[in-house]
Amino acid sequence: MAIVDRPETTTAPQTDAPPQRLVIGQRVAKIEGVDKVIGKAQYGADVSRPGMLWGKLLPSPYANATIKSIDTSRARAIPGVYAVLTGEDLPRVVGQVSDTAPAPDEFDVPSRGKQLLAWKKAVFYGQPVAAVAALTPALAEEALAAIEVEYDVHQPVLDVLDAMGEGAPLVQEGVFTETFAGKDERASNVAKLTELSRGDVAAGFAAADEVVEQTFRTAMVHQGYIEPQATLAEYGPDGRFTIWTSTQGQFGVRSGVAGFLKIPPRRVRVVAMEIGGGFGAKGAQTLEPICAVLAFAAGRPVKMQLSRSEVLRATRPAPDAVMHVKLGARRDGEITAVEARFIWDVGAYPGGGSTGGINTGFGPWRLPNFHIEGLDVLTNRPSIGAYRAPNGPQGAFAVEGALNILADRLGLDAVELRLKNAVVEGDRNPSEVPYPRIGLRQVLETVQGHPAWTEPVPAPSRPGWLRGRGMGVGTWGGGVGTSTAHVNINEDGSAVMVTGAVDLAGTRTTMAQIVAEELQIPYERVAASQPDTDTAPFNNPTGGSRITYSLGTAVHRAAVDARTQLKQRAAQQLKAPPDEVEYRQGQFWVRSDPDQSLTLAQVARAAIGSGDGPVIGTGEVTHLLRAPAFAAQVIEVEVDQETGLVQVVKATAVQDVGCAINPTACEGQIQGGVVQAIGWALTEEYVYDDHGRLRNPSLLDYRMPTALDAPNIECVLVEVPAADGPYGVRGTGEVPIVPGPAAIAAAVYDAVGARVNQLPVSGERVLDALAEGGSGMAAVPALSSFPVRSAADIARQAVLRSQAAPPAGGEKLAVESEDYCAEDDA
Amino acid sequence: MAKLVVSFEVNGVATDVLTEPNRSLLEVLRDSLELTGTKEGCGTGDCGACTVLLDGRPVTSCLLLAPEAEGRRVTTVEGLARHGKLHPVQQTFVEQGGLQCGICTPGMIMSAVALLERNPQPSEDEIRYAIAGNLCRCTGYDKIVRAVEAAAGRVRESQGVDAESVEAK
Amino acid sequence: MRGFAYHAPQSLAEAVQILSREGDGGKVLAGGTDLLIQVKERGFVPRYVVSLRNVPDARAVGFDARRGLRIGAGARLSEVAAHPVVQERYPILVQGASLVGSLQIQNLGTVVGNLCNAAPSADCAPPLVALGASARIVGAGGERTVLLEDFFAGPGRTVLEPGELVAEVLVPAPEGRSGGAYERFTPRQEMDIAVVGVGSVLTLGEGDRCLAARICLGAVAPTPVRATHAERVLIGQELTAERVAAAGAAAAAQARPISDQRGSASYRTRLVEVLTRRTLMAAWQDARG
Repeated sequence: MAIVDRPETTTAPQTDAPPQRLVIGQRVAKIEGVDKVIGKAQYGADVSRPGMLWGKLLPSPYANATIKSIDTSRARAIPGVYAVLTGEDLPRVVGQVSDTAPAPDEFDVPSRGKQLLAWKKAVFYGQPVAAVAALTPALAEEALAAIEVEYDVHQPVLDVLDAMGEGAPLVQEGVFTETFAGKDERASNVAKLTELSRGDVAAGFAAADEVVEQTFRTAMVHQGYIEPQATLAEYGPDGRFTIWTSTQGQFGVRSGVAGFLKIPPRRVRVVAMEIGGGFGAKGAQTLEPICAVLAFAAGRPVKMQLSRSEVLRATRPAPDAVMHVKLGARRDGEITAVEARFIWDVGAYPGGGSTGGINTGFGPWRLPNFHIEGLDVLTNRPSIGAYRAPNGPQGAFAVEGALNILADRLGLDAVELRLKNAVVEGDRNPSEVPYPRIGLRQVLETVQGHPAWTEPVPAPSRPGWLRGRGMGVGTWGGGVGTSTAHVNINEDGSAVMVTGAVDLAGTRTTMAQIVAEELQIPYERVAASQPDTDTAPFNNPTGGSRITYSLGTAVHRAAVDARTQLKQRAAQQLKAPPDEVEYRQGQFWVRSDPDQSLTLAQVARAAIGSGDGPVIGTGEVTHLLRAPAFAAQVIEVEVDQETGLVQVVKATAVQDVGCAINPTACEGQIQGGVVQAIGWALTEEYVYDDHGRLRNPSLLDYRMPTALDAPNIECVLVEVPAADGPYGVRGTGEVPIVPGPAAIAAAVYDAVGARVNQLPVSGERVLDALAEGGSGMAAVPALSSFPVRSAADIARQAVLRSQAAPPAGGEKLAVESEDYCAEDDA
Repeated sequence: MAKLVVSFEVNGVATDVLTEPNRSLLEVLRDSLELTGTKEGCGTGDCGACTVLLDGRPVTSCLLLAPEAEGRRVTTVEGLARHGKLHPVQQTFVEQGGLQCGICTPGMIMSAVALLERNPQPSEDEIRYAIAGNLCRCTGYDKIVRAVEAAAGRVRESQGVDAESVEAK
Repeated sequence: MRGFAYHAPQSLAEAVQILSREGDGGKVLAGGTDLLIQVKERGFVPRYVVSLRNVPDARAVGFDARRGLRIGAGARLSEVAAHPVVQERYPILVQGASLVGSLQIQNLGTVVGNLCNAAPSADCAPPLVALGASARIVGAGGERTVLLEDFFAGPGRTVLEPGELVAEVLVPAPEGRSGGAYERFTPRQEMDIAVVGVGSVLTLGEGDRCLAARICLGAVAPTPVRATHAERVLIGQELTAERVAAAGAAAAAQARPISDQRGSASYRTRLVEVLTRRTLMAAWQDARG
């Protein structure tokens, strides 16, 4: 094994000298850390209820099959089996729960959120076809085995390019290509076509001295959270559901379950348990609605827990993509034109958003002229979901890959080339959203001066191996959304922060740091509480790197509100005007007479019995400017010349975090993202057979990096304050996964001269690329060669039909789909 | 299916469990003994989240049939802290940011504890090897390795052996 | 998981009795790691299991110069890999046993179980086949010894008859100047399954003359297979880097791997060439001492 360096984390010079801070910037320990190391923290699968049953799902053994009949009678007859449901039963149960007439037609739509159980046909391997609840897991399995399903099996559509072809079998009959100009009237596997343009592309290419044109492919990959989805649902005599679950957003679950069951949100209480990793996937509701349905049908609490093979087969992985990029530039590196086509395999149901990858891939660069198309294409694979900077790593693999090739061809330093084209405040991303203050330039300049980039590549650590270095850039637009927080001041002057947010990996800690900072009390004097949806103030799901930024704003406002109220109370007690009262670190005093003073605890205690009552600070936020974050990573690999095996031996991650509230937490996010990118780049992929069956649904064959596959990762935190939000903080979670795959591919090229444009960069692909001297991949055919109609075509058609249908606002559509969460169609 | 009684020691306490023979040690720990600190990530021995110590050695409890634990000594994450005092590995995981979501943490800690018991001065490679059977998806392992290194220092201190004298040997 | 009956006999003889009494659908349990995976992932549920945990000496690992190494059916992978005699005389077996699964798996799983599970990729098989090991099999009809290279019948299948079990694996004492090495290719550094694994054992005569060569390939055929063409390139010849390279090429030419989720046939063939050469070079060095 080659672990070469033992770097120290460094912090790059800050743009603005920050004011003296007490707790912000400190490496405090995680608030819930002790609970987690002693095994006390309760996760989704750790909760039980008296009289609880176990729920399980029957997976489809086929990727594309009409369900001719399902016979559940034998399963129902097993003693101890309380409920057996198929897709056909769902309208009836929903009708019973909501006291409405069953509406089966509503289920006959291409929506995964509606089709919790396959509706008339199974459209991907492992899709749930039936659900059971029984006294024990073993009985539930026995019941599944007793269900008889007769299928009419069809050939699945497994490749996006095949799916787009003329005469390809339709994955869904009711899907019509959606464009800015409306929907096509012919059913198609192309669910959505996004077209973004600017300037004069032909003129831009005419002005170019060098043109790079390449096709890139990535594989379907999984988020790989270690905790499988787990949910417990109970239906009470009061007509309310209580749902304990592993989720990124309890309020999202509440609205999802209430929406599916057609009941008001007050009839659903959601308790978000400690979550064992989500990375976007647990923003979608995989188990909650079906678990609630089972609990209602069985009349008992039902617990469900996915197996690892179910997690891999039938949750929501990240899409594979075929990406064609044509890039024109002047001799000095200035980009003159871009033409690109990103084709996303969104699986068996529409949704997933193709603009995210475009804006993440091209977002860092100034493009005077471009035409970029994104296509969402249906196949008989599981429909996709959000995975950390959704679609960003794929987009960046193509764009950064093309830029690295361009730098080589022009003989330019890869960082220099990027500095030449880097966006700055006021520039716009491909969706024409202007950038506020950003730190891309500072990030690139930091790389430019860092030994990881400037020092010569060291000799390989082993004979027979070659070493190389590569870099890549990534961005994430930043997440926003609604957050609310309360800060309750206790009678001793300590504080309890109450939010409805799910803590994926450190929220409570950083939020408590904000409260401590604003109240100027020790961090240890702040407790964090995240109660259920009945009790907690509203919060959008955790995801898209929005929490520290948005929830942080709400918490900051709540803490400031509490401090302001305390000051007023102190003024009353000190019989001085509020603007005469000073506060510092637990002490209030009258400015003109400092001997007149009160401690925070005295003020807080007196407030309890006073006419105004105890102090509760509240904070709310919905509208914030997005705070885009940028990162650059320099990665070194060693390549076994004979087997092609690639190992990452060193990684340096430079990232603009705006303000590191807790550097340890920032580094943890970055290091985790880098290692996920290493897996994506080198070893992880969904492997299907010709029948559409996943061949590697285990953590043995779905190869996520182990501790031996990960290098030491040096983090360099750049702090260019965001224009909005507290302390200038930016979200840190998404960006670090974006640059890795492109940087690794560049490092492999640097080491052995093999250009591998397809992920994963396996040993075999490296050897093949060396033998062929190229990527070996055919360019993606022009859009016109597929029966896909562009927005212009559709608009023209519409005009011809004399139906006034002006093109809808493209920017709005693009910005929406850029949003953070898995678009759950529920 | 005939149930049978399995008698074994769990975290220092003699324990009898009535179980079907086809249940795993993990299921018995979690469902019968309510020791839910041990986690299930895959059920097939590939992720290490369910790691416990069996007679002091780390094993994946999801792959051990419960009756096979008869007469054995089992230590789970709940059994590490003594008299309210955290084990050095637990302490340093908290201090060094060696955990994020925490689902791999109990298993990771058990592997690290087992390593330090037989090797109080592991190299970085040895640490990475010892936890290679424990997948973590949040941390990128870096801070876990630092936490184990720091814990090793404390274990040596508590044993009254300082680093120099070990190196001198 | 459906249920099964559980037996924990006090001796191998009793275990054999149970197997012959209960008949089909039984499974002998040593470490149990593969059994539980089969139950969970493939829906295979035995009618009954016979655990060896109460059998005295099942976990024994012993050595004498005449009979060589004996590995009991219950000997854990980690115990075998850590055994001083194995470390000193059979480093190739240490290499194989310490690659199976993770440390946690090695503390549960057994060498004999790794063989009886009969995965073409089993990491203990190429080293033991290359060492010329055999399995001592006991059953109601008595006892027999089968060379390991004849033990495997296909993926998941062995020559064990119903009612038989492997009591121990016997590994001859290394002769004269001999050395061995096992290497496998995996995309990850740990917790992985061999895409190809090669075990090579060489015995030298005078200087670098090769007296004997045994090479076993894993994961390139339905069972672990000897690379006989490659062995012939070496036996009786003076070893040189070129000759070792020729042996690697011969092994690759003879191998007939398949494509699956772990690697394509053509890549596996290339890996056979590389790993055969590398393990032979290491074995040669080991033999020279």
